[in-house]
Amino acid sequence: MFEYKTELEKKIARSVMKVEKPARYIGGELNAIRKPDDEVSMRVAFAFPDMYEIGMSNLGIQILYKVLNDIPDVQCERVYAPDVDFEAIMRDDDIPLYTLETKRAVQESDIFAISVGYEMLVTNVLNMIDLAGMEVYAKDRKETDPFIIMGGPCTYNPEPLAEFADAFSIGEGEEVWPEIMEKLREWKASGAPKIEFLKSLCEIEGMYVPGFYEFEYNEDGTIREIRKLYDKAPDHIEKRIIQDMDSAPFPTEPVVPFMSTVHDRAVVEIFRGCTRGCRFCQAGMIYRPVRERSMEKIREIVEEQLKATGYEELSILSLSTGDYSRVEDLVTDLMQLCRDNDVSMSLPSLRLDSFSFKVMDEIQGYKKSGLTFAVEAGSQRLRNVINKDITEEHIYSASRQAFELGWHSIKLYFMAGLPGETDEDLAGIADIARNIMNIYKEVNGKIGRLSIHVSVSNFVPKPHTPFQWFPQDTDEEFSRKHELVKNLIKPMKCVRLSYHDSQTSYLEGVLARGDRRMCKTLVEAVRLGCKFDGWREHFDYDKWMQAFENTRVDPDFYARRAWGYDEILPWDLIGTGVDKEFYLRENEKAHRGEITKDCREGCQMCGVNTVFIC
Amino acid sequence: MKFLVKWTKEGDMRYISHLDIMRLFQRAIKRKGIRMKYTEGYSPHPKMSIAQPLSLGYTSVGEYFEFESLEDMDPELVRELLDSAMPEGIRMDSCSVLRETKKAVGALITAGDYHVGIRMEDPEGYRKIREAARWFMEQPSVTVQKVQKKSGKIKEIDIRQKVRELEIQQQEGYLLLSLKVDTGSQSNLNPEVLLEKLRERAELSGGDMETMIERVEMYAESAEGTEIPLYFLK
Repeated sequence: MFEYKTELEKKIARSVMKVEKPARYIGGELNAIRKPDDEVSMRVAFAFPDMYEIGMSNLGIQILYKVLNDIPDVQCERVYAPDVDFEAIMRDDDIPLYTLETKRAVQESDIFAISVGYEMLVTNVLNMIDLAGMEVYAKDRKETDPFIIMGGPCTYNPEPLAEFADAFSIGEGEEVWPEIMEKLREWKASGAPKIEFLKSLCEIEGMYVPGFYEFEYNEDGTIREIRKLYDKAPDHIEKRIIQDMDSAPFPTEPVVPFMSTVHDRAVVEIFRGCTRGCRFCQAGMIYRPVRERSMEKIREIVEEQLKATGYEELSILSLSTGDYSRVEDLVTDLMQLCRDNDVSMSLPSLRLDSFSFKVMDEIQGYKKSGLTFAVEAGSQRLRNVINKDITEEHIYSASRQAFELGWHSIKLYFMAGLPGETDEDLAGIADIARNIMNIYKEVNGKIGRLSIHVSVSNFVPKPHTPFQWFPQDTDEEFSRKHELVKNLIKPMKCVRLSYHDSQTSYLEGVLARGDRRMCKTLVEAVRLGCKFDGWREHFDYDKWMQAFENTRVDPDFYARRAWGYDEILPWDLIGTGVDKEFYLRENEKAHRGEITKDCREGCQMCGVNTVFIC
Repeated sequence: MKFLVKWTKEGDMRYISHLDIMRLFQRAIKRKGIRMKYTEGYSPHPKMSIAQPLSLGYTSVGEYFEFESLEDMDPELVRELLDSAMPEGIRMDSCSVLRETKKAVGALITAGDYHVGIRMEDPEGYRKIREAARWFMEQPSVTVQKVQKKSGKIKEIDIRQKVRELEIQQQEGYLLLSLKVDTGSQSNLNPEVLLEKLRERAELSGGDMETMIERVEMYAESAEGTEIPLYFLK
C-alpha cells in the first residue's frame, strides 16, 4: 500500500494532494510516451514555462515531442511550471523540478529545452532553471548539468535570455532537433568537455550560441559592435523552417490531458505564415513564407487524431484561416468528417463572406457565439498606416448580414498606441461601435439582445517588424487613451469595453527589445519574487521597477526611445529571411500612410524568397 | 444497450478527479468506435454516469460506471475495448448488460467496503489507534459536527451508526483497517471522517500518520432485500 519506485516519486505523491489541481503534476496521460530505460541513450526535458494547462495547449511542444520521441533511443519528457502552491512545497521538501514522463529530476537529462512563447515568461524560465537545482547563468553551470537550449517565437530576440541559455534554436524546430541530437550523440561518445558540443552546434544552421559573441556599447547606450569570440561561429544566424508541410512531422497521437486545458481539442495546422503584411504584426513577418498543407494531408491528420484521442472538438490552426487557398473545399470536407464522427468544429479567423456565414450557421446552429472583427484601428487613415486591410463598409455589411441571420453578439478588436495615432482615430473606435449598433436597430427595430464587445490592446513594438524602431506609449498615455474611448462608449449600454493592463504592456515592450544588459535585471526580478508575470494575480510592476533600479538599467531606453535606423539592433544577429531594408521601407511607407498589397497579388520584395522558397 | 462496467483506479490515477474521469471515459468510448446514446434536448450529453464519486486521492478496486450504446454489443468485447483504451492505473475488470431502467445504478448503492492503511513512525501510535477503534465500536453513538454546504449551519451526525464493520490487522509496516460503511445517497460516510475521529480519540495529529484509502467494493439492495455487490445487479 505504501510502495513507490523512487524516493522522488514518494515525495511527489505525498505533496500533490496538498495542492490545487494535482493532475498537473503526475503525467501518465493518454498517448504520453514512456520508453523502457534500457532503450534510452539520450534524454531531453522539454519545458514550456507556464502552467500545465497553458503549456499543454502549445502546439509547438506537441510537435517537437513527437519529433524527438520518433528517434528510437531518445526520450523526450515534458516539464511545465509548477503553480506557486506546489513550488513552495517543492522548495521545502527538496523536490527538484522533474519530468512528467519518468519523474526524473530535470538535472538528470542531457538537454533541458525551454520554449519561450512570449516575453512575460522570462522570469518563469529563470525560476525553473533554479528549481531544477542549477545556476541560472550558463557560465556558472557545472560540466555535469544538462545543456539548456531555448527556442520559440520569443527568441527571435534572444538577448534578454542570452546569459542563461547555452544555445538557442532559432525558427521552426522540426528539422533542427534531430540534427542537435546527432551532435549530442557524437559528443557523448567523445567524452569531450561541454564547450566542444557548443562548438559543434555552430555547424548547424539556425543554432545560436550566445557565449560565442560579445556586445560592446557606445556612450549613449546603443550597441557599437558585436564581436565573435569563436571564429567558426556564424556571422549571422538565419532561422530554420520546414519547407514542405506535407512531409513535415505533425502529431497524430497527441498527449490527451486528464484535466481540461486551454485548448482541449484536436488541432491541425493548415498553413504557416501570412501574406497580408500588417506592419505591427511580428507573427506575420517571422513566419514567412506562407506554406500550405494539402487538403489530403490535413484530412489524414484529422482522421488519425480523432481516432487516437477521442476528442469531441476539432480546431484548425493558422494565422488566418480564410486565406487558405481552397478554404471552401477544406471547410466543407472537414465539416462532413466532423459530422460523421460526432465532433464539433471551431473555425477561427474566417473571412466574413457569404460562404463563412453559411458555414457558421451550420456549425453553430441556434447557439450562435459572437462574430469577431480584428479592426485594429478606428480610422481608414490609421489602418493604412498599419497596413490592415479591412474597411468599415465590409464590417458594416457583414454585421448587417449577421444580424439578419440571427446573430446578436459582435466582438471588435482594436489597438491603442499605434504609430501616428491621434485622438480622432480613437474616437473612431466608438463611432464604429455606434454604427454597428444602429445597423442592429435597423434590422431588429430595437437594441434588444445586442451585445458589442470592444477590446482594446496596447500596441507593443516588436523586433523584426516595420515598427521595431518606434517608441512605445507611456503607461500614462495608454491609460488616458483608454479613458477617452471609455467615455465615448459609456452612453451606449450595449457596448462593453475591455482593455489590457498598461503596465504589463510596458514591461512586454521593454523585454521585447531588450539586450544582454537586461539579463541581470531578470535575475534581480526573480530574486525579488517576480514570476508568472503574464498572470494578473501574480504580476508585480513595482518589483519589476525595483529590479531595473537595483541593476541600473533604464527600461525607457528600450521601450520609449525612438531607435535609429543606423543603430545595431540587439537582434541583428538573427535573421528571419526578411531584409532589414524591407522593414525600413515599410516603416517609411507607414509614415506616408501608403499601403503595401498582400504579397499574393505580387511580390513586395521582402527578401524571404532569396533564402527560402516562397 | 446499457452496460455496467466495474473498474479500478490505482497509482497516480487517484489524483484524477471525477469530472476528468468522465471525460476520459467518454473519449475512450469514442476512440473505440462505440456509439453512445445521447440525452435529448438543448445541449445533449452522452448517457453515462459514474456510480458514487470517489474522493480525490483514494484508490479503488471497486468502481463502477454505466453507459448506453446505440448498438447492441457483447459485454466482454466492450470491456476489452475500453480496457485497451485506458492509461496505466485504470483497468476495466468486468462488464455486464443491465436491464434498461430509468434509474441509475449508482442511486441504488447502500454500502461500501474500504481499506484504510495507516503508517506511523512511532509504533506506540498503532496501539493508540487500535484502542480508539475498539472504543469507537463499543459506543452506541459517536457524533461529529458537519457544516452544511448550503446553509452553512452546523449539524450533528452520528457516524457510529454508519460504520457496520471495522476490523484491524497489523501488516508489515502499516496498520490495515477494513471497513464496511454506509455509502450512497441515503446515508454516506467518508472514511476520512471516521479516521479523523479515531485520530482525535487517540490524541494523534495528522502529521503523525500517513494514510492511504482504497475503496474495495460497493453494494446495493437486491429485489430480495439482501445487500449484494453491485456487479450482481441485472
